[in-house]
Amino acid sequence: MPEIADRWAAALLFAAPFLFAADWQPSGPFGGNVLVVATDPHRPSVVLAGARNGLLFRSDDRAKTWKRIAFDRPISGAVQALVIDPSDSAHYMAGISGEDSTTAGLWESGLYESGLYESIDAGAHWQQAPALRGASIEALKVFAKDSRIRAVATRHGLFVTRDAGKTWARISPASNPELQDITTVAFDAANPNIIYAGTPHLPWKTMDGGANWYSVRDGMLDDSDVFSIFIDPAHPSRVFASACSGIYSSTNSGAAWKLLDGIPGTSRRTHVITQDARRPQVMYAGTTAGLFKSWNGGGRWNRLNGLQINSIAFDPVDSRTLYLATERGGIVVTHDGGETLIPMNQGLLSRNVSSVALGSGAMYLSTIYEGAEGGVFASTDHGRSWRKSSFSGGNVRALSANAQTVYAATVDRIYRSVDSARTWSPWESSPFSGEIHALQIGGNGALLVGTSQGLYPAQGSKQPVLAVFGSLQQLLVNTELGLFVSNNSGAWTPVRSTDRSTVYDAATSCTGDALIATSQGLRRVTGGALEPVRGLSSDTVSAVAFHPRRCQEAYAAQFGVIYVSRDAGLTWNPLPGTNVGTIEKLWIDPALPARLFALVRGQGVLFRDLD
Amino acid sequence: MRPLPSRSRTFLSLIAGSFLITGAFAQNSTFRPELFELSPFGGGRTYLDIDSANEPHFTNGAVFGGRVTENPWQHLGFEQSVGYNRNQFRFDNPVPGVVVMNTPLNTRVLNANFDVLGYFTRRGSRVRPFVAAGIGGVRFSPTDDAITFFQNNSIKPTNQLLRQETRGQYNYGGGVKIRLNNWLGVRFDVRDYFSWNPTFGMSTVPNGQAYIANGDRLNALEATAGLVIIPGHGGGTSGGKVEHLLMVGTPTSDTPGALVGVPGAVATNLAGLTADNSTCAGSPVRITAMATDTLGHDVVYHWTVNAQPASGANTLIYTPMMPGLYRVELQITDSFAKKPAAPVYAAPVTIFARDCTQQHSLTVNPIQSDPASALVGGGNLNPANSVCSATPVNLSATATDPLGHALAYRWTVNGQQVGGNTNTLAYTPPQPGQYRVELQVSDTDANAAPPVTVQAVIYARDCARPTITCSAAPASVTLGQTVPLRVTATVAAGNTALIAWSAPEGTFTNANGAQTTFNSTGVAFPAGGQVQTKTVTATATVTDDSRQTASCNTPIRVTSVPPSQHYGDILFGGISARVNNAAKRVLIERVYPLMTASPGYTLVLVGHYDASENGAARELDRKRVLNTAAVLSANRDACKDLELSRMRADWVGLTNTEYKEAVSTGPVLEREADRVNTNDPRSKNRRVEIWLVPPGQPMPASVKTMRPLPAAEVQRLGCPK
Repeated sequence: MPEIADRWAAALLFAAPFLFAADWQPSGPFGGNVLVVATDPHRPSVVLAGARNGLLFRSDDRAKTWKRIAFDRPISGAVQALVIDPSDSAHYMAGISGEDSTTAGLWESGLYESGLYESIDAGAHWQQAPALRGASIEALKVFAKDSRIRAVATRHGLFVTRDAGKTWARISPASNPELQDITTVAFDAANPNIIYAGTPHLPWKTMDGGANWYSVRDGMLDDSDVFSIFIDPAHPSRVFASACSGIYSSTNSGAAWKLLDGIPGTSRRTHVITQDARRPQVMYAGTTAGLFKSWNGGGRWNRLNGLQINSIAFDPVDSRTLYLATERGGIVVTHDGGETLIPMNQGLLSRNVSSVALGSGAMYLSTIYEGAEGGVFASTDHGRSWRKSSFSGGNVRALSANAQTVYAATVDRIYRSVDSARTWSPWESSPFSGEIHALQIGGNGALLVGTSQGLYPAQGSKQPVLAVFGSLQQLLVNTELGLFVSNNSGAWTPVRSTDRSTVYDAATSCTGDALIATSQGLRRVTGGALEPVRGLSSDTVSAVAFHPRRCQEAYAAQFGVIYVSRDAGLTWNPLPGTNVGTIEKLWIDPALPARLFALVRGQGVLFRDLD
Repeated sequence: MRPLPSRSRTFLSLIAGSFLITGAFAQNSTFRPELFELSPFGGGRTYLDIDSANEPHFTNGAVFGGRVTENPWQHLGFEQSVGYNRNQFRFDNPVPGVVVMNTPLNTRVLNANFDVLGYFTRRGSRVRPFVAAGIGGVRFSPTDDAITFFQNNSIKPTNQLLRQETRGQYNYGGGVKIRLNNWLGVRFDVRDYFSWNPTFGMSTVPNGQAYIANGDRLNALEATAGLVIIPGHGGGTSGGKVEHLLMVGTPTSDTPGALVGVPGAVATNLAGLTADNSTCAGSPVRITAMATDTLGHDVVYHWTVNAQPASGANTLIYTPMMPGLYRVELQITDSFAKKPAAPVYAAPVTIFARDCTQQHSLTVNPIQSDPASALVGGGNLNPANSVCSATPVNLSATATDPLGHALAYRWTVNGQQVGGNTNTLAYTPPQPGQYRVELQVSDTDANAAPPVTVQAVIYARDCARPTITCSAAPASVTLGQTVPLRVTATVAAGNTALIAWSAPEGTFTNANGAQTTFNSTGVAFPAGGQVQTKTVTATATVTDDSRQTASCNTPIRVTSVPPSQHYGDILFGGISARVNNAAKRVLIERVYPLMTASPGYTLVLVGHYDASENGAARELDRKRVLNTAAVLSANRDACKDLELSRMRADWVGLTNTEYKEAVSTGPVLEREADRVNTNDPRSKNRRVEIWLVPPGQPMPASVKTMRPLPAAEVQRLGCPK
């Protein structure tokens, strides 16, 4: 243990600079998707949480605050599995799932980023296990009595190491089509050669370390996609399996299963089933319909809440304290066995933000695909905190705001709030057609709606509008035909371009300069044409913004690096800082002229101070 | 015998304890008798009145006693004293209504004190004035006759007896000690004692009888004269002289190795000496001894070298002019002419002076170099063993002195001094040619060995630096494509060129070839399915035999244009449109996250049925598509909330297109009724194709007629079980 403590202390010292970028700070809204949560068996204050988009967070204070831990390279896959080595608190293992090699070029550019990553310095540095490179990891388990023995479930087989990861062996036969996509894995409590593997079609079991496999399906509905297998440590013959068809228990090591009564088998998916180690009769099931709890070993179940739960971790000291990784609500903590729930997400950003708008003294933000946990958020304290509004219209695609009004658009409806996004009502004063892509309040206060069938109120051609950018003084409309600019006179002028780059963002300054972020670099609108800028390569620029007060000052993001221009975008220089991910939007709150905000894909709003 | 009252026993115990403390000093003083004194004294004492209306007071009287003194430091000492005073206690002022006791009460006053003495002159001085202060106790004891008288007199309550009392006491004062000889002196003291007054157990308030108010400070002034006996030398007197000691330190020398030959005399100073533990003849040696006189007298040092007097106080500086042994002796005497202490002798020491003209030689190894080929010796120059000009050469040599003397190094190249005083030199021949390197190693000791010089030659040749140019054609590719790269490198004649390609992302087919291919597959782009462009700089480096390098860069522009992706197919049971649970895993756990992470993408579903299903009549292809869409969009139960507007569909019936497993690297094995049975290939026709189409990309070829999904109909399906 002293060695572990020393390593931990050294790791913390080492890790400090690598913890989430010191130059960027998270603003919010905190929470969002969390796929997996893990606790440190020896350090109760330490909790890890993994999410999609390669997001990994650590809390050193029992989930009160979170800091992001960065992998050594950006990862777009999902952190699907997390384990803190029970014999070494500085040893983290993270399983990344994703579409791997044969889909190269689409999602991950053939980087083989899926696989198992390990850090022996509490997340400061990571190494990808070469033998599992490219393997989409669905589950990771460590044999309780010997942490050198580990198993990973992948989409193409089950792999086991017995030498702490030095070598991995595929123990599921490559020739058996039933044992290719492994969804979960569990070790027998006493014998590491007895392993259970869950698949989309029923569970399997080996009793000799993988030499022979048996389908353990008796009593289980044939159409059973297994999510989780749990073995009672005190009674290894007592096994639980959660599947789409329900939760099953076996008292004879899987030889026969019995569907548990009292917990609905339909309308939900049970991602995890687990047991209170100190009170074995208390069991929890984390499902898409909420957290269920049984006080009698699975005989009767009560639903405690309606959260979509992906993973559960127990506090190592107090088994009534559970950390719940939820699909859309971030980390939720209960200290009384699930009776009361406390969202604890300060610093944890894993949001799917669709749009940002600046009002007078307020910032608004909308999320998409986050259900009741998402919607429209407002910050009236310059990003220090975010308040979720009562918006209930569904997935918001676009926002626009001015001093009096906030508009939010779903795919086919527009809603309006006149009280800083507290209450909303449908807005239908202007007819439009098609799917809404963009909203923008014009200089005269009128709302422009960009849809798949044109810009409304009807202006110019009926080309599908992809986005509307700019300020009240000058608007830019990106269509499938190209870019148009309006100086608020009502006339739209096409912007000439010599390339066919894709426009991602645009910004106009207080003196009328306009910058366009494209897939082939940053462009400056000069004389009605797009001209390249100096000091910035022709690589993709994902976001651009002008300073609201210093009209010559502009910022651009290129693959996570921020560039600054002090001559209205003619020349650019990089700003030192950490690459936090793909920045989709940049802006500066006029009330905080020395602070740059960024909307980072898959995370949320971050900020950094400029001076 | 009447037992002593407890208070008396306590008081006597304090006195005894004080003497024991001082006695302990005295016991230690056995080895330093000059520090211990005994002083009997006698004198007088006068008391101030007690502040009471009937003015009781002690009468003045004689006092005698003794003192024991310990002087552990030159100006500080401790003293225990005991004094005795026989006294009469009187009441002089009659108070109306109060019976006056006219007969004085005889009283014994015994003092015991522990004082600290501060001397104005150092120990051993003839006259030693001092100040003193201390604490102690005083016991007032009525005599037996006084007690009897008091007992038989009506001036007191019938149940009252006189009793003795003890009070705490402090004192201060001063005096002077005058030493008459080494064992006897006289001293005169004045002390002022303070304590609370005694009441002898009498009433302390007027009650018509005799009383003594209590709480007044009793002040007694004492003047005494006495003898100072300095014991410890009583047996040491000889010939009428008072002896005292001279304390002599061991002579030491500041010349290492000078003092030898007397085992133990300078043993602790021998470490680190030269190999022969000696000094050079002709070199001065400084010898120091420290002596003190216990009485503070000045001491005189009498040095002799080989029995010849040598001058010096406590330090002798002597130069042995010839090699040999020089015996140094030191006698120390007391300067107190009348009664000096006996002379003492320091332990003799011997100076060993050696002949420092003795010859010895340095050993210097040949000069070594890195690279090793840089040096050629003896004029047999071999250009093959040479270095390129302007290339640094690291030179080194090791040298040793048998006598361990410090060494100095002086490097020259072609006669010009270079480098520092170290055994290493980093030298860069500026241009082609020969460079004669010379290293002179010198002994810095007085008995120096002759310097030694070693030489070597660096032959520097003209090495043309390599040159390199590189190119990529085409310089722009789509992600996943390859780019041929070419490098043109030149190196000096006779050299071979080692080429190495590197790039921050992507891979090379042959990273060491003059022609290679860059594979852009590994270039990373953020997920999201957007068109993106990134410039990757490929760097080629050529290295020649002399480790000279040159590099060139060529940018490669990589554009990621996400293509339409056939994610895979989900299968259905015969004559069934139900989305089974394995298919739901594909849709909910894998396809849905991809779609939400890439908002611009369109999900395209293409439904099929098999000829055996009579699918046309049953519309199985269409129903399968609608159920699939419902799983992704129903937004209730386990179904997701993907907008139908992001989906397109077609149902193509029997049209056969390529079947693809729903997961790229392995099948999601579905229930047996649904799965592809290799013995019954018709099962793979019971499927829905899943396509992910990025913005601007054409629809898949399997789509015959792009159809929007019937929203109302899909919504009516709810979340399919």
